Amino acid sequence: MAASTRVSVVPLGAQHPVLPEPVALKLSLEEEKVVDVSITVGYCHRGIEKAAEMNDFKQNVFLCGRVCGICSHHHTTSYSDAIETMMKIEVPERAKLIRTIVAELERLHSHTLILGLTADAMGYENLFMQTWRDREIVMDLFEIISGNRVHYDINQIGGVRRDIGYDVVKKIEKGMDLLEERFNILAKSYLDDPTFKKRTKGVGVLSSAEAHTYGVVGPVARGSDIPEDVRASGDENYAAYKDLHFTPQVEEDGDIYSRTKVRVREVFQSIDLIRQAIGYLRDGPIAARVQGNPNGEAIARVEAPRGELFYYAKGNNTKNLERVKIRTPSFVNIPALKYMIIGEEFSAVPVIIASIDPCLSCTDR
Amino acid sequence: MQAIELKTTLPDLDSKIYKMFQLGARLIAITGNDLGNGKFELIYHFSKASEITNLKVEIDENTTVESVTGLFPYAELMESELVDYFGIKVNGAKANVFLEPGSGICTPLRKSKKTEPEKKEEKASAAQEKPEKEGATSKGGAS
Repeated sequence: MAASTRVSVVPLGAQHPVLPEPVALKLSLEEEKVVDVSITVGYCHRGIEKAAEMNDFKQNVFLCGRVCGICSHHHTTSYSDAIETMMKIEVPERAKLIRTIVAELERLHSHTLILGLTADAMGYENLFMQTWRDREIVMDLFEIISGNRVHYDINQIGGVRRDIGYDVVKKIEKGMDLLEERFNILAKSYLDDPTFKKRTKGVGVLSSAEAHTYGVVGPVARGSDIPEDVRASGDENYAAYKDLHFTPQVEEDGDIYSRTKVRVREVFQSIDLIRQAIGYLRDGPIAARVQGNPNGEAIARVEAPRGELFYYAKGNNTKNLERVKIRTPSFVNIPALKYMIIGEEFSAVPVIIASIDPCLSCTDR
Repeated sequence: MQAIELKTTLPDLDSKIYKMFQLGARLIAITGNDLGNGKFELIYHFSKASEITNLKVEIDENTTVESVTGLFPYAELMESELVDYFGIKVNGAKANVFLEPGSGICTPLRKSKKTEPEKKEEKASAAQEKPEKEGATSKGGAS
């Protein structure tokens, strides 16, 4: 007669060394296998949507940038896009291109950050440190462009706050050449290393049908054969993407390896998009004049490094907005974690969590 | 960004949402708006390829809205937001996911603020319980 299997409940988080941000997972284990999991969020709720109703609509650009330290530019781009649509402001072409360049630089630093953390989660510290060393190239460029490494605050309603001069453009081009050279070496470790493959292939699988059912977005969806990318939507207001050549990076298997492969390829794609955007740069104004107050409703969405970021804004013809709604990519990707974790070994859980690139600051706001 | 605007009534809401589900649309978000005088507006934002559809419905303060998690399992947190931020009743949605219970903050996105009944009750019950607790402590200490 077979011995009955005992189910042990292991709490992981809210504060735990393997978690970059606070999220609580209650894992039910049968020996080493996860049979159930419950996920609790809400540990870093800051009431940003409420605060956005109390500020001037122009000040909100800076507030929205503070939703997240990694994808702050995408938050400000999406918010600005919503307000500009509402106020029918035509953003100058140069401003759109600068927004695109900064957005792709942000994707580079976000993707290199999470690729490093994925390597770290599986104990591959050498790869983690090398990836983060090369990420410094992008961080230094942010400091040159804006004076800040994290919250660069490039956007304002109607355009951008800072121009990119000829010298800075040359530095960005040099930086991209260096990053491409270095990342060509790192990409081999991520895609060909037998240790990395063994920990990621066939682990944390989310099939295409499941990805559709659980509404995941960004590299998680693209890693599960869903070719959705807001940059390819042809939206005329969304920075300068409609003028750039671009194909969403898609993988079929839906495992950690596929999500990693999508991000590695998107690193090279971002470098290419930055070069394309620089090629289109022409002299001209960087911001349009803003007159009056927003009135009516508008939505905007952008492709943040973690996926589709959605903003809804409602104005009432005063300087304060009636409502600002923010739906971040992690908000829909985190619940899907449950279906990736169940059935996997306990040791794979930190790597699966890292593979969806969760952002709790975004989720809780 | 341009979107298709659809308005519906509460009795038709479920069938309209089901229609979007059948079309293979993805639910992006559910936005709540306080319209004042106990009226709320819910906007279900759907995406199908590059097309966005906003499905709007106006509800009353005391209305209970049916959950959409049967069709869109990832809407669980979206519905919890409606409960926590606006106090909108959603069938089966979890409360106190984003706001800490007993923190004194409830329904922060409602325009017309009401006094928090739970807080007053807590204070009253705390005042009643205090002598009993002290008594229990002294008893414990004596034994």
